[in-house]
Amino acid sequence: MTAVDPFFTPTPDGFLPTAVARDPGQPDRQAGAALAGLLARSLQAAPAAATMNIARLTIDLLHPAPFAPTQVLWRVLREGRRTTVLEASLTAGGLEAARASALFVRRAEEGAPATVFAPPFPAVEDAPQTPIEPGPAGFETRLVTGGLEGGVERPRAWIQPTTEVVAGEGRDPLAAAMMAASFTLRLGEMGAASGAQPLDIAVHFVRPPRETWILVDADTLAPGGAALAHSQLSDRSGLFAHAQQTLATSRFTRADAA
Amino acid sequence: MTHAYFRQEGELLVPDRTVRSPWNPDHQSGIAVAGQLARAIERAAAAGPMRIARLTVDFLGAVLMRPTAAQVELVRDGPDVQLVEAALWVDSAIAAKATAVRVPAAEAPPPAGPPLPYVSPEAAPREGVTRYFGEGHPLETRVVQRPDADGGPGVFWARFNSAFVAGEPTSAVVRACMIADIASGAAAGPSMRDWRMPNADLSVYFAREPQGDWLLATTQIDVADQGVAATRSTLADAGGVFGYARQMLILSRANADARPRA
Repeated sequence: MTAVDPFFTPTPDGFLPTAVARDPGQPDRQAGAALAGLLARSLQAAPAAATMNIARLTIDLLHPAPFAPTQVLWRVLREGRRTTVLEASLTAGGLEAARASALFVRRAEEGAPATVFAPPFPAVEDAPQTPIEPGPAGFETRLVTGGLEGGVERPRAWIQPTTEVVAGEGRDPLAAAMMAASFTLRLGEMGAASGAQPLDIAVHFVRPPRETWILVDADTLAPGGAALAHSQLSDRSGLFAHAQQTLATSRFTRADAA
Repeated sequence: MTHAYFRQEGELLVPDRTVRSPWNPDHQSGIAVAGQLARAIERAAAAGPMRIARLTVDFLGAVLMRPTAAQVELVRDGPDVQLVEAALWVDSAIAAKATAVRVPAAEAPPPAGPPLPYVSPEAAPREGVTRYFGEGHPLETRVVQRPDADGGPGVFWARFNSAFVAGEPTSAVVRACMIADIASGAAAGPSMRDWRMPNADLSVYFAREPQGDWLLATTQIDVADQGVAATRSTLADAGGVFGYARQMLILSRANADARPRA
């Protein structure tokens, strides 16, 4: 445990980012992972989502979020018998930095079909502790080695936030999953020069995550045009979600050439 | 005269009867809703040529077989990236919403990828991938592979044999969104036979713009025991893989009251 502070402390009208929430490469900004955690936590806390499971959470990163007081506003787009759709807007220092939309689904009747997902990777305890450089604050990462597919080594890592998103609330698996998903692009292009900024974080859940250690198994599709980073997210019980991040071409080329 | 899915009357799109949902003849089908939102986003203002990198559709309620209007808002605008929101209005209510990330369109066509390990559309049998869009439906499908009990993917080619809107060319992105919206039907294996599984949303990710009339989807379904399933589609054209798609499916027993959208 390296970080003791939470990512945010609550204030009467929102949240104050702490040093843990700083973007390590751009200290005047908040890290994308911190924004993802705060949005996930806020949407999940909405009364319309109570007793429902997350099915999809899509976050659009509009502008770098200044390191400033932050608010999250949400509203209900649909509240139905089986599904609820929510929208959220995150503002930092008066600037709208991110938007999110979330689909929640009521738990199924008995006997719903299931595919069995065996946990396919080395346990957290067996993986070496390996930081992602430049290391984001507030996370513990353990790289899982191996996995040659088509001659290319796919980067895989267990990632866990080491602290709460908001002081006093405890660590939450959904926020942990969204924060881990925000590393999809970073992991997908590990080995290449990094520094490119993703435009979004989209996660599709077949079930909610059960704990805060999240295995991110990433790959990148870049046949020209844009790059799409994709990852499978698993916890110790197996696969629970797929994540996507989009990157614009010009940025990808620039980062690649650097 | 080519058959058209919609005709334009002022700001409104008026649906042809083939737009009817297979679940309920008073409602528009999901492919028509996704196609209208994709078309509206493609027509949004921009300083230079842009293309959709990601499109996420939330089906909020039934879209009646009535004229619709699409309203578009540029949430973020710039030469490198745009975030576009679109709402589909029927009468005085929003029935579906979409958000899309747009990036500059590539100046040159993409290099061809590795050849697809599937037969050509001409060599595949003409079959509906769902029992609802049968012979004669404008969305023609050719099944390459049916899903198996071990979770193997369903694979199909599809092309759209109508104009989406009368008098204008139908973009490959609109067609890809329509095809992605029926992919769940191609992937439902034996274990899903007793379940209805309408999709509550649709997300399509484009690494490049699709090319050509025939598009291919390779689709698997991931499902835990929570009553929700996710499709995992890889989208390709004759030049190789161009993107991914996901649908969140809401499961209910087939003998329960059928609703077009959960």
